[in-house]
Amino acid sequence: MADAEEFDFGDNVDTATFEQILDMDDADEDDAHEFSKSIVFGFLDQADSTFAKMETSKYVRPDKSIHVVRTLIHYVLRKDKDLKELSSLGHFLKGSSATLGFTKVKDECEKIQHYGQKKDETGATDEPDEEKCLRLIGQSIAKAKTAYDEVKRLMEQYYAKLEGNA
Amino acid sequence: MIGQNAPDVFPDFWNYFEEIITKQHEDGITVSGKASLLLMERQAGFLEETYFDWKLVPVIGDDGLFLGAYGIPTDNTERVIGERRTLCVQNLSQRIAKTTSFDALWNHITLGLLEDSKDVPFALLFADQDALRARGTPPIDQTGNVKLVGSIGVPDGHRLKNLCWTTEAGGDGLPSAVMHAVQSSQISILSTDSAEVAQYLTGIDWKGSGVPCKQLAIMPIFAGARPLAVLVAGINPHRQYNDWYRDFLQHITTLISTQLSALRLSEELKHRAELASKAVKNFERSELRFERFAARSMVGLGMASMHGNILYANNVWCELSGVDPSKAIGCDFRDTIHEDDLPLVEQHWHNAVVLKQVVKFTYRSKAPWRKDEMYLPQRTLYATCYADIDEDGTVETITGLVVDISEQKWTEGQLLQRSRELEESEQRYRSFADLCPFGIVSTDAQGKVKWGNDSWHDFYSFKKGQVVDEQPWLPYVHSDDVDKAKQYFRTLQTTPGAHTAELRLKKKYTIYEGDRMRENDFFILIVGNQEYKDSLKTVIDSIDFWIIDISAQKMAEKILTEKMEEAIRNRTSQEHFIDMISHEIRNPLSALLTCAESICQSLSQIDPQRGPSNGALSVAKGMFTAKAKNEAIYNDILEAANTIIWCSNHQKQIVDDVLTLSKLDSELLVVSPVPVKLTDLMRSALKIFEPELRMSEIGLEMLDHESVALNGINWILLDPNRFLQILINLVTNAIKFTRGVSGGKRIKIVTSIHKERPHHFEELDFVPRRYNPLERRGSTIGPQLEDADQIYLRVSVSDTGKGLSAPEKKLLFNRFAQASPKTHVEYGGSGLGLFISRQITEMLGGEIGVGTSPSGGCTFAFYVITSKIDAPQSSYLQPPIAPAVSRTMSAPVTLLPTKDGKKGNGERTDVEKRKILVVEDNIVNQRVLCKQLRNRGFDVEASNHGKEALAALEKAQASEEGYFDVVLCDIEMPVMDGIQCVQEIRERERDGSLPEHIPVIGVTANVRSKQVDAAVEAGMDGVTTKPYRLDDLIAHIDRLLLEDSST
Repeated sequence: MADAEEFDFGDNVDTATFEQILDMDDADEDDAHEFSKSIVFGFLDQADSTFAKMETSKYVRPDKSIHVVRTLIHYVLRKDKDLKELSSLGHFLKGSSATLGFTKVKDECEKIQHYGQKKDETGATDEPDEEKCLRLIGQSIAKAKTAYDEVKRLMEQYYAKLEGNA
Repeated sequence: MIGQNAPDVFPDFWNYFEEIITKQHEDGITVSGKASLLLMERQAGFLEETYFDWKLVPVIGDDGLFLGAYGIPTDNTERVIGERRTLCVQNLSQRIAKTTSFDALWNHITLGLLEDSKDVPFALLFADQDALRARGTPPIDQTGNVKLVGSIGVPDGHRLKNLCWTTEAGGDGLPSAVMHAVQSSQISILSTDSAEVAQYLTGIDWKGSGVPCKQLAIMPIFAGARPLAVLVAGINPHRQYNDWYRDFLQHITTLISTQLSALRLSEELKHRAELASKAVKNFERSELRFERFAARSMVGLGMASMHGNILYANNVWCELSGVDPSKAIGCDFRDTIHEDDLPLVEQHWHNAVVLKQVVKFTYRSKAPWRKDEMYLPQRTLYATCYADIDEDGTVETITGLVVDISEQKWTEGQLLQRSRELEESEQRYRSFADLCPFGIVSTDAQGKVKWGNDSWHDFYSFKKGQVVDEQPWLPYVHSDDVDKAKQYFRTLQTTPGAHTAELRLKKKYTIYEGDRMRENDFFILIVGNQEYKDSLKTVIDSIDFWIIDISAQKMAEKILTEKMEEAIRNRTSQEHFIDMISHEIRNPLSALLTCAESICQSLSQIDPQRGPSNGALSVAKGMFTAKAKNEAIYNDILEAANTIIWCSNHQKQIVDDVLTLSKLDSELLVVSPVPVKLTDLMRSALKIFEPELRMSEIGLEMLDHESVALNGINWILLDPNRFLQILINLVTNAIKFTRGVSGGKRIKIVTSIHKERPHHFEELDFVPRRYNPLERRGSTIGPQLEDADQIYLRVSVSDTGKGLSAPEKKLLFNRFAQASPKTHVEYGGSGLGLFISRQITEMLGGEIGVGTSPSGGCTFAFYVITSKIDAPQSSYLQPPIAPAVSRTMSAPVTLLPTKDGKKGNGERTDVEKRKILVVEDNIVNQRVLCKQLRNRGFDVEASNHGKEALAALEKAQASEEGYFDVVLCDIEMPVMDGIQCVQEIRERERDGSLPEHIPVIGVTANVRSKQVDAAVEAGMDGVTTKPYRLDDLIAHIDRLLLEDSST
């Protein structure tokens, strides 16, 4: 088995956790990494669509909207609901990224979850300013996407290498 | 005529005479006849009624032969008819003279007229009922006042019988003709030929000769100037209507008219007499009534002369005035009046007598008044007085009516006194309230201020008397609390009883902390209560408020809260920091350990005697040197590696302690009791100490107290992980503290079983519990044991170390505490071990403590609550032995972490696979969890949300593959969340569409007890937290299934 520790994931991936996933692969079968690979790429697809959902809550960046009036109305009516939805999406993606040990993605998702609940990034203190929460969520989504891109690149490399070895 | 044949000349009666003449021809006797009726056509076309006397004298010829007859007729017509009519009039006159009522009159007119039916073969008698009726009686009929009252020749049911009309309206046909005749006031003749009249006459039974009349005479009958009746009479068809006939009819008219007048007069008189007698009766009755009224009235009634002498007085008056009724008449009414009121009464008397006014006044009589306990020395009377005046306007008598109002007067007096008292008392309370430091205000039902004290006015800076608005405080209330204030007032308006509210005002409350000003909202506490006008509490009289300024408390509370929060924040961040550091340290430590182990392992594969086979060259250069050198290097490396391992282990232990503590603090540690074989559990756990004990030359002795055997303890229900954590900690400590002592190093472990809680035992004091009693929490489910099976498992660990002093013992079980600062230097350790052990013991329902062992060393002992059970049936319940090992680290051999569950817990291949339904929306987590569970030997099926889960359950129930053993259900999910899902499952189980009670474990990232409670309430059997800890999870499942199968 190709040890994950041999591969440099940097601080993008918690190796111990990820190894647990790798351990679940059935080593004696033909496609030795079928399980972990499908899980990892399943996650990547999932994350991709979750980010898309987050961004359709366009009030994450209200200043970029063209329809100012509509936006304002929507903004006032929906701001709270958007925050809740964003929090829920953050929570969702946090779960799977934690399972796979994709630490950086997980951390940002956790922040999104907290901001969405109108809390600060640790979730310990209330942050009543909704606009600030939305702005912070915008920043965290960007960071999460960067982390995601990095993880994606690493995973593609990793599995390419594994299969190359096999 | 002469010379003509007799039969031709007298066709009407010749036949009759022919016979007579023939007879005379034979006997020659003169024959005569008396006035028999002969109808003769004296004028052409008119058969006239005639009466003749006749004589036939035979003319005898000289030869004695009958020559002929000589007829001598005498016309008696006028005489016969005249006699007839006279008789009729006489008859009628006699008849009607006797009549005393109209009805009798009509009847006798008809009967009288019938006697001369030849001259009156038909008659109709109409009467004007209105004119006949006595004045003052109402009209009888609406259809008409003129009615038929008598008739001749009109059969029953003939239309004429019902003929009637009104004088005013008249009519057409017969009525019209009749009314014309009435207007002309004389007899008029009407021909029956005209269709107008003839229409009435069909079907008439004509009297007299039976021949229909050709003319009708209409005869109005007057009484005085007024027409009262009309007689319509048929004219004899065999007589001409002439003056003679008219006189006859006139005669009849006059007769009837006279009698009618007479009758009418008598009717009138009768009516008047009736009225008169009625008036008399009424008068008598009213007199009687007055007398009764006066005698029985509650009102005193007196009549006096102009001079004031009583003429009449009823008993009531006498009683009220204090006069003997027998002496009342004649006395002066002034004598009955209280002296003080006399001038007033005289004044009114004057007004009544001289000015003839009706006067009303109140005065007091000399009679005392008494009723029950109520008493007044004089009666108070209310009087109305007026003069009775005769026709000339002179005063006859003075009438006075008096009513006793003493009781009212008495009540009034009482009331006056009461209200005076009330005013005094209110004045007292008002000044009481005025000076009160609380705000007191009273408003009406709408919130208009009735009264408020100074303090109340100060709250809003109001000026007294200038507050007029409803709920005037509203503009001063903090804008966020205005609705609350309104709502509060509404509550007071609608709900009886006292109500309390806390409001903020717009103004601020400030204090100075040194030079720093602190500002907070101005808080007031209001208590309101209503006063009702009625006992049913429907109409509010007033609402009273008491208002207290609680800003100071609020400020103190605020400052305190801020300080508390700050302290908690500080502490939390400190703990977070420690957690974080621990995590950061642990990862590289694992690496260190792994590396060191690798080195050791690699070295073990090298024979230091032989050295590495690195070619012939080195061998040639000198084997020995190389060999010796290699061996030295080998030993150095081995020693270094072992040192690294030892140090890392030590460090890791500290870090693990900190993390365990952190979990304890977050209440994330789960207690999962499973059946274990106690002795096996302990022995296998203690095996890990063997190398170290050997190395340190410490003897370890493990004893079962006789109570173990006595109670037949073999299998018990216990969380092995937690239990061993304590035991191993204590043994580790014992080793640590015994190691340095010289000679006779021994550790003794004694296990005993108790039925009662072993509080004091062998000179050993337990540390007071921190959590008391054991709480049942969803995430940290304590042992749910039946009291009957409950036993106490006690373990003591004694060593021969140097022991502890009393103050040292006190510190032992606190966080980061060690017996003395020196301890750390000598023995290392974090000082957390005992604290953690204490926490865990308490979680398991027990206590931990320390005492002195007989050898002078220490005895640590703890007990936990457990229960005895029978040996489980299947082998899969073999307790997991290894878990606690990771924190024991004495021998390198045991250090390898149990990376894979397969190796650690053994595969469950030999038992029936248990079927589990995983409900998890996140596909990544779902697949990972499924895989893990499959690896542990479960038969796993997955659903993405609650709806799918329900479908899966139904499908499984229907299929032959068997139903699920357990459901693992995420709580937060789209479509249908875990709470709804479990509710639905339980609902279906109740109605029988799913099999009875499948265990459901909820999974959530939220460990707050509110969520946990909600889940349990919805029907979940347990809750576990994310991220999954597989061992705990499986233990949890085992326990649930055990419970489930045992019930």
